[in-house]
Amino acid sequence: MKNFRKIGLLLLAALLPLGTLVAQEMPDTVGMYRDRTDSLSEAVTVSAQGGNFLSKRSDLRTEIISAAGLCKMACCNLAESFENSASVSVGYSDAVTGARQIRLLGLSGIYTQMLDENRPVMRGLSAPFGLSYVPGQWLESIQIAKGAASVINGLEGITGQINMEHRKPTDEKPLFVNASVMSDTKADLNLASSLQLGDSWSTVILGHASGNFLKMDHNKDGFLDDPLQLTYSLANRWLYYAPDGLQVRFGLKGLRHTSRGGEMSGPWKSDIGNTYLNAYCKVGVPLNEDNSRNLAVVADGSYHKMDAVFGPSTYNPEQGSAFLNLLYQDQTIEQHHFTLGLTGIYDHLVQPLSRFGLPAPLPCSLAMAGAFGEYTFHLEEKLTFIGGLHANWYGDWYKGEYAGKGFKLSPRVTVKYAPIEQVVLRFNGGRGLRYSHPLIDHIGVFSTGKALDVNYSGNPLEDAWTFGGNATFYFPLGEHDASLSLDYFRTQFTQQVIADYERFDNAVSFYQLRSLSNGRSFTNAYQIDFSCEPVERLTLTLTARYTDARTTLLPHNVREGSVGQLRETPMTSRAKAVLNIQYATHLKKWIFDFTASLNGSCRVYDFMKDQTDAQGNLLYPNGRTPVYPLLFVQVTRRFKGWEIYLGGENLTNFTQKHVILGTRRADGTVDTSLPNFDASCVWGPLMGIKAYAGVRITLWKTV
Amino acid sequence: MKTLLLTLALLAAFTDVTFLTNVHCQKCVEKLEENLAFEKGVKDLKVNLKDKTVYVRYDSTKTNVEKLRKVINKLGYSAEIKK
Repeated sequence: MKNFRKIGLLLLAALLPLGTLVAQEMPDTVGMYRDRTDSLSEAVTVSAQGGNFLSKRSDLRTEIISAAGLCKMACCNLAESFENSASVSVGYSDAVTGARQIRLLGLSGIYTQMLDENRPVMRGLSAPFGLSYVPGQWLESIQIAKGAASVINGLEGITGQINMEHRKPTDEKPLFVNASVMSDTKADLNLASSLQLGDSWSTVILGHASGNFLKMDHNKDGFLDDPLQLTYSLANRWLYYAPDGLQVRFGLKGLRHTSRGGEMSGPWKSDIGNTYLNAYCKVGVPLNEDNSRNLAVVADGSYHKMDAVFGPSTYNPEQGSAFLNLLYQDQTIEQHHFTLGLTGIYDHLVQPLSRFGLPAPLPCSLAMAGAFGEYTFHLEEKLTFIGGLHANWYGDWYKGEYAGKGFKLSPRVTVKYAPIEQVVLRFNGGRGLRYSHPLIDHIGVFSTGKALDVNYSGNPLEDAWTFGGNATFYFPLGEHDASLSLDYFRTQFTQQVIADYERFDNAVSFYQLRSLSNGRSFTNAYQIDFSCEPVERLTLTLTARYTDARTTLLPHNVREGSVGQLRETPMTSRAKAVLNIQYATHLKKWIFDFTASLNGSCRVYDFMKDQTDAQGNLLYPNGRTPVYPLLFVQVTRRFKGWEIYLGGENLTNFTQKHVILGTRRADGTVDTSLPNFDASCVWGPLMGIKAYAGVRITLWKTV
Repeated sequence: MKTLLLTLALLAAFTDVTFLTNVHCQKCVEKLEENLAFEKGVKDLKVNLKDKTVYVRYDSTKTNVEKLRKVINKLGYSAEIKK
């Protein structure tokens, strides 16, 4: 367990705010600090087997998916990297476009802040497809922090933060190649090259190409099981490190993605093209010799253009975004640390839309500017208290007309208490705020024939409070300490945009929680995690979660009135359990991974209760989806500088039947011209059993 | 019995050595582990970042201390035999 604790320290450094960049981001500076003796004395060895584990050092309840964890499965992209996590559930937005979505604490991934080395990413238009745009093999690790995190990265993380650490410029790997192919013809190619150019400069070039090329319709519903897709992306990241401690990081990324799905031979097609460009720069300036006072600047700009056809609808949104964070950090007094900062985010969106006469959203500019402060009190290893306050002004313009949301104060608190070494108790809570993008956040509505009933204007500011805690116990069992962790988190919205599929037949009604006289929306999420190594090189993790999610929904077919009924949030799985077993032979020449998950049921939309299969049998007679298991296995054989892996996904071959809903034609397929056509009611796997094979080649730097 | 004798004979051919090195981070550990584990004759390996040591059990009929030291040096690290 000591090993886990120590890598936790390393990764905690990566999680810490950019204000600590100068002092903390040493873990990836291997090449530059070859002869250092002081920098990482605490960061000691970890089992390379360690896949997913809970960080003991982190102030927040943080699950870490390490590089080894990212090799346990095919993990072609970020979405698939969460398959063996119970904290995060992965699903599809709909059955035709390939857009993926995650859930954390029982809420949609739009309420989870995605960070790329502590820069907010996948915001707004980039959210629906963003999870598929990060190749798993580009990443070094992923950290999933639950609850209201630090105010330093902004307030858009309501249920938590997921931070991605990419391969570093300072990695001593001039060449890394990964190629894999799946039985459904999906092929992936990833390249990474980290180069050190003298003592101060280093860079990493990341390349990716993937696609699937064969039309398949295993369930004979007339629709492609998976859209034909082609993605290619290229990134280049740089690090400059001056002898006086100044660090500059900057990078560029470009991506192009196309996806063609829909009916095999019928008229309803989805045809989506995405272009994404990003540039960023981070500068850390030490203000004294030991870097205990420093300044940091983080600037990020991105552009995203989507051209989409969904059956008879076209949607061609564009988004330009800018993010700026200025931080001053003072750690001169050992027990008392301070961070002060200024921050700003600006998004400009245009959303040309053609859909059944629905007016297109107005071009809009969304701005947030504010100041924040955070105070941290440390009492040795026993107690940490972090109190943060964000004071923000929110302003939005629609076709130049101001409709600001005004000034908002958002406090956040974190407490970590370790009375003895074997027990860690954590609590955190605070407010989160985000501009909603109702059509983008619910992009699955385009994969339906339904009318859109819009009862909001602009981009309402969603507002929620999340509180929760965690207790982790460590005890001797087997080779190292085992851990048992218990979590509870509650998120309560005071403002939310609700996409109600049940209010009217053949329509999706959008309305605001605050417009209801008795509106409530909350989730209670419970989770238990157990991890041990019963014998050497055999690791076992077992996790289970239960989610109670409820939302006030307006009654069926009642147009007037604001009194709703508190109901179980539809299409939200109540429970999930995951078992992962990994065994490695001596010197890790063979690695065997086995992952099994049991996915609980969810309440289906009311209109789904009447849906029948081609024989006229009700699909959901009790109004709930079935509980289903998933199995994954992988075998890896490692050689010097390269490894091959073979695996299987969804070995139980469970798939969601009748994923396309509506009135059936004589041949059993759904009539897509009718308003009750709906391909967005996805709760289970769309693809059955899949096999894959891949190779990873690493060329190490030598002298 | 034959198997036991064979095992004992093999063990007798195995030799242990511990090198003091200048590893300083987890990535150094990874680099040494990934490369040394697949060197001919290496039977066991432990890289300890805290003590900055590399312990190797090797088959002396297939490799020797000097070869192992050269491998570590080639990876960019110093390697002195710990007495």
